[in-house]
Amino acid sequence: MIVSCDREKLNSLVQTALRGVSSRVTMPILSGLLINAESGELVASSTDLEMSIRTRVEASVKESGSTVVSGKLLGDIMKSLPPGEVTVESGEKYLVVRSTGGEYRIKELMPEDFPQIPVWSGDASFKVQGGSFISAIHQTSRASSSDEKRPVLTGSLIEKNLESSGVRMVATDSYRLAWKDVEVSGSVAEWEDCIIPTKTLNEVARLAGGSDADVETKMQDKQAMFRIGTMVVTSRLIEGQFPNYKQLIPKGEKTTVVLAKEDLVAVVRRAMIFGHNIRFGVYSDHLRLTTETPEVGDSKEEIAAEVSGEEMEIGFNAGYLLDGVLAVDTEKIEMRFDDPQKPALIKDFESEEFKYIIMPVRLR
Amino acid sequence: MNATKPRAILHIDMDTFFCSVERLLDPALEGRPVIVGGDPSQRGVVAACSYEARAFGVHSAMPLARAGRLCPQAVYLRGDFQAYLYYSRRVRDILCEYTPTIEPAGIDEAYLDLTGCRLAFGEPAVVVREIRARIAAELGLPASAGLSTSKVVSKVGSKVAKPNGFVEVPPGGEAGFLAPLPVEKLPGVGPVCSTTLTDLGIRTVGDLALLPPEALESVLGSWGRVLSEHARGEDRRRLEPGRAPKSVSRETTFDNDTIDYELVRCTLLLLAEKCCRALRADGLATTRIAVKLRHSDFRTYMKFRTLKVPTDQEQTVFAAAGELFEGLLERGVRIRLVGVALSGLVGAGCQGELFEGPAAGRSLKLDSLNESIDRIRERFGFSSILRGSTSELLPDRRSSLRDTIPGRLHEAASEGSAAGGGGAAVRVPQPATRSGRPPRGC
Amino acid sequence: MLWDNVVGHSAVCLSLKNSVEQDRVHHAYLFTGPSGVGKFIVARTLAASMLCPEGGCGECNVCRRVMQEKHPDVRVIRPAGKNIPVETVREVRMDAFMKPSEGARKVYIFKGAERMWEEGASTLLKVLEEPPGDVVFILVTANPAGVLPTIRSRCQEVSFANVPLEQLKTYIMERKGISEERADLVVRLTGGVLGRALDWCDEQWRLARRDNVIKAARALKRAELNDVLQMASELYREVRAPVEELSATYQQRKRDLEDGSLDAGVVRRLSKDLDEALSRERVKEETRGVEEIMTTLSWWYRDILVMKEGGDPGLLVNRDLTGEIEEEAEVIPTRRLLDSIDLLAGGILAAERNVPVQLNLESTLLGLQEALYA
Repeated sequence: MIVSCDREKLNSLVQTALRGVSSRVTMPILSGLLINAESGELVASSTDLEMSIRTRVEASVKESGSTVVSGKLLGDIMKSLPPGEVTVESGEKYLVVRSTGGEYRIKELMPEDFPQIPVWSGDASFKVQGGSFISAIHQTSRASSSDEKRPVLTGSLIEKNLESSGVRMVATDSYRLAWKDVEVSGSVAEWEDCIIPTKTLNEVARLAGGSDADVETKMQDKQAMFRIGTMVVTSRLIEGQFPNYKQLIPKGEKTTVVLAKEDLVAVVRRAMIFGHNIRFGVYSDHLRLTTETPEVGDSKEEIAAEVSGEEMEIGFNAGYLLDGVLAVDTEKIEMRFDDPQKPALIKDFESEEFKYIIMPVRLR
Repeated sequence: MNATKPRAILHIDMDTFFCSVERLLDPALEGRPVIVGGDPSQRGVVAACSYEARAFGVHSAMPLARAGRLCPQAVYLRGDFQAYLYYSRRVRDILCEYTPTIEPAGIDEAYLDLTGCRLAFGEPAVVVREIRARIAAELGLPASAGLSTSKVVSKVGSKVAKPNGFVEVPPGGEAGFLAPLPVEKLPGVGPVCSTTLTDLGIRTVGDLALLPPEALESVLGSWGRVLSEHARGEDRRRLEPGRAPKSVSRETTFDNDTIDYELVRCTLLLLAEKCCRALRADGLATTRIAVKLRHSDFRTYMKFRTLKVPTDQEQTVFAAAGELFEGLLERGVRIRLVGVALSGLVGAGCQGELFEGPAAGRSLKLDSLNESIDRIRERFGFSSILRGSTSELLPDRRSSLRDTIPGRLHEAASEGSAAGGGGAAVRVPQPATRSGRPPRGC
Repeated sequence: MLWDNVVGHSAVCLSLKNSVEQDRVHHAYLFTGPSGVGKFIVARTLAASMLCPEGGCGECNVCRRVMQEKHPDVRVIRPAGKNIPVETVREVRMDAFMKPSEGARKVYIFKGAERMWEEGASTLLKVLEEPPGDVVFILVTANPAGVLPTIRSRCQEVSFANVPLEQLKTYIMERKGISEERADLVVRLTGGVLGRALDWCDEQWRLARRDNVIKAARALKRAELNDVLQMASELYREVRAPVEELSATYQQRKRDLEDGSLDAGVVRRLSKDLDEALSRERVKEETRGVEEIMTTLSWWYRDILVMKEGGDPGLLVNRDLTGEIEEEAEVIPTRRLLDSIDLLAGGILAAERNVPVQLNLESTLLGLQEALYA
């Protein structure tokens, strides 16, 4: 393999692929990057077995071939090379990187040992505008679980929504649940509802961040694939049944509250200092949030709100409440309550796209 | 301690606390017999009853069905532990205004050391009247009080003062005050002990005081000597004020180092239960669970786990503790001691779960189960109700089941200021009937 | 075909092979049988035959990676320290809920599957109770009684017997290019356990050690207390030698890691893994050494017994020492031989329970002296 390419492009290729290298190595080969040179392209791939990244750049390929080298070493040298053209050549045992004046050799690993990484083929199932995909991930992913005892909940459900011909992203850790409807272009008919590790989605959001390129999505070989520009992220899927969440939606029969999001965020943040659980009192024209840690201290703060319906008191885990409030995308926030023992709803004001359902805490 | 001035120890005891709170919540219960514990058609026992119900012969710990026959016209209530806890805290808030030296002795009673408050608030007796008046006015609850130079005399005093009264025993008058009272009035003298004493011809506390301490010791063990002192009104025990715990821990040293992991596991469950009960009593929940293991060669290890959702449920604590224990185990090495420590304490609350299914609602169900168990234990002591797997572990329960088997556990409890902080270990004597420990049910 | 490379176990292999070909693979297997008999090789072969498009051709990249434990869809789980930690079982559980990376199936091979505490075992049980599709578990154990009965009942049990001596003999003669006489001796001394027989061929010192052990046994008759203790410490050195050698091998492997192809962080991690593996292997090798010494002695006294009772000389294990066996048979009474064999069984048990090696050797030798000559 002999390839030359501009340092800048090569570096960004390598740095992108490095995102897929996990520090938790189970097999040595996974600390490496697979480099392929073929038909005018240099392709770098990485995988941690859960997620893989495959990214490419145009390059002048003098001799095609492939190799695997330590991702960190390659990344470090690429970062520090001076601007200009860089030639990469794989020999018997070493990958040789040549830049103006310098020559760097990196011991190679066996490319045959590298796990197979699926190659995108055919058309996308659907396409999402990058910004809205990223914000959907941000709004829902915090509700996802990290408890490996319930594998299904460590993933986010992406299901097609035939009514709106969009998709819905849903995440829950069984204490709260967040969902977001996302508009897509193209047909969702071919999409198979699936559970994708939330970790991978967060990575997709990071990789897609910065650019506002569309995210193309498809299902191939039982894996979900996301294409963003010249890069493809492939994710293994989680097997299992996602909990039936639709029946949970609070109707807001009893009480509805509307207030400014920023105000509530500030109050909750202060209240959290004095306790994990917030006593959330809803009164005719205001809310009262109190927290206490016995023998340590307590807090009490009132905040004006538009309240319709009955007055009530309900308890929330402060962190879960804050996550929900922060995820709201509108200046005003709407909350609905049925009963102090039943789930409450936090949502965008006058919009049904984002919903956050939170199970209350029974206070003592 | 003040060497010149005699001590002024107050014991304050809320009268029929559960029933009084119920009456506060529902004034219609005023004047009617009230029994807390459940419906007489259910299995269970009386947790508390009002004086009106006692007039019919109903008393605590009696099976509900029996209470139902004795006093069918009573109002039977399941009980609202949250409310009791709330009022208990409000009472404590009032007490806190007079002295920092308070030793809570359950949900409805406490000892206060008023020795040092003469300058600030005046004579102790005046303070006691003020405290009782405030509890009555601000909370609407009756309380009885005993004031003397020691815990034991004050405790007897408040018992004598009931209902809703106040007894002051002046310094020097302790023995004289106690002498005419029946021995059962002394704390720690239960039915078994009382029978033993009656057999010796002892009926009053005065009879007891006349007996040489050695004689009593030979009958009752080390407890006899303590009892003899108490009978003469001598009790130099200091108050042990409850501090805000930063951690709660319990540990157990096995009588013989063991490789019986099932025994260790059961012990962990018992320790988890005890820790969690202490948490719940303080309205706290833990976010950090630690297990401590000492091998027979005294190598000691500890492992921690942090929880996202705070818990005060032994089921959750035990699940984590079991896994931590597994991580510490060395196959074939004997274990000398195990301990459970809970830290990262926060205000309690029970996080509900969203989904239906086998696991759904489990947390809330456990919550009310634990609450009921606490309620029973509040009244009848820890070993009045035990899990199957731990029932063999407690010394007093074991010895009541099988007389001759010596207790297997020494127990040390500590509420230290840091996770796993040792604190002074309290060795609980064992077993019950042979040594100094008052038998259950006293 | 990979199946053809397996020595012995032909019935087991045939049935496993058929189940792969007919797509009737069970979701969980329990491979039982003496250690070194070939369970793990069969487990990997089974995995390869499921993932390889040709049913385990042995040539392709899939087969190669499976056999070298480099395939992402075949994970081998070994005890870390003495046990398989619950964290590892949880990782497996989590991973089992993910679809395979490359192939149609994922395989988890648990070596030493009985070495799990309650939490680990119950986590595994939960997966076995509701196995995700596409997943095959192969639990490998030499001690099936140590496996939770509820786990056992969910597995298809496959038991591995020792390879017939004749077959094993032919195989090692071919593979190691040694004489029939020698192959025969090795096969007998290792009781038909393939892995051990191969070790005895490669590691000449094992045979030399047998000679030393028997020499020591024969010297017991006229030995003073000090001499016996001296013998014990020489035998102890014999046990230690391979352990030291093992350490050297691991040091070399650690140096090999640092050849520059891997990043420093990865090297640190992997050498930590190697250190852990070494400390595990050291204990194992030490225990094995003591066991082999005790076993050698047991066979020795058993041979004398056979000779004494007029048994067929073809039954002798230490055939090369027939003369010496005859001499001993003349002088040692039957009762005493039986007692000695019992005593040695106790020594093996003590080794398994981690009784310090030297202590165990000393007390066994002194015990033998008393049993045989007192």
